[in-house]
Amino acid sequence: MVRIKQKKQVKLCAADRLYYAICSLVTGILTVLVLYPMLYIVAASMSSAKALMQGKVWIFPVDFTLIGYQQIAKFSNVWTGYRNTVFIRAPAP
Amino acid sequence: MGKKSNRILLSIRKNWQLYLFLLPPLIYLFLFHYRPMAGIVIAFKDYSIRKGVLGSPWVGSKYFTKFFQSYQANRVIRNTLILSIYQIAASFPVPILFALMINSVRADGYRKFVQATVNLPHFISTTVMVGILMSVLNPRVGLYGQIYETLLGVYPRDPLATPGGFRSIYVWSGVWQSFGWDSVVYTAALAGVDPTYHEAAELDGATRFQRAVHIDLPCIAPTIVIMLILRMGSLMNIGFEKVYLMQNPLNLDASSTISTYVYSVGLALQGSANLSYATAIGLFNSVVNLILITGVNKIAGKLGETSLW
Repeated sequence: MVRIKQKKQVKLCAADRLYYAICSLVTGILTVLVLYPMLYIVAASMSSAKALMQGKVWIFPVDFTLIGYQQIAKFSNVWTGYRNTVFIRAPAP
Repeated sequence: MGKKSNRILLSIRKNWQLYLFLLPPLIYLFLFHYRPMAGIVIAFKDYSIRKGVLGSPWVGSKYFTKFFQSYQANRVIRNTLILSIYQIAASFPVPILFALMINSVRADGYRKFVQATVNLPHFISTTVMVGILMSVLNPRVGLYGQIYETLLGVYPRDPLATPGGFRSIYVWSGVWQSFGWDSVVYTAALAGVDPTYHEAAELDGATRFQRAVHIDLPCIAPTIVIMLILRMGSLMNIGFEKVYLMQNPLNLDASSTISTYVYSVGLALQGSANLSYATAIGLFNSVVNLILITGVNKIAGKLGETSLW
């Protein structure tokens, strides 16, 4: 896709500058709204249950631990589930 | 007529190798889409597994009458309509506005980062999505409860325990998950807008906002219409999975929809499952959908030249 290279902008008028600013701002806010819950889930998955219950987790993991992932790996139903997903679901359109 | 079919036969005989390519999809369509449709006869029969589809006695429209006379009919139809109209009203304009805005962002790196990020939630499966919702919205330990408590000093009520809360959470989490992905279609359509329009308008002194409204928007209007027709066709098909997973006894007033009702009477009741009844409701639903999509398509064809067929 070829984007037309903006010619050397002499000067943007006020209306244009405002519009560009609003566009960047709104899309930026939407990005944060989309990104934050996902980051929170990742951080929560690596935090200790105690820190989570006390509400100390915001973006970064508190009391870093991978015990949740260890539990999943040990829980054989998960692996059975994955096998079934791949062999049953994958060939269907 | 006779002449025309002759000509088709002749062309088939002449290019039979090409028509052979058509065979596998036709067989697939027949086996998996048309043959199962024969199963809807059990909507008009008193189906029992022992007697089989052909052996079960005909009962005419008994199950349709039963559905429309039950107190549930009103509720599930109303819930389905409210939920899906709310969903279309909320989730249809957002990707369009987002695409128009991201199209006017000039910093390339920033634009690509934003586009990649908003696409991410689309890849979360429905089950995991509902799991995330439950843990984030938990009134005590979830993010929602924590923020509420920090700001106001008390714990909130469970938002999923009220009918209104259920609807809004269902719809807006859907918007959150899909607006980025849905905007891809519009972004692609915007990339196809002839740049000469923009250059001409720029020379005439149009601002970027005026160009977005008077050039970009009309240029992607056909795409918007097609997407709207497709959406209207599934107006009554509110997804089953997510509603069912978010359902709890407290929000049943808003969350029992046609599809969950079909499931609960037709499949969930072990031993007393009534397949005929469930099929009758499902058939009614599909007929309404067919009427809707045909109607909207006709209206769209009348208003502009864009229509599905």
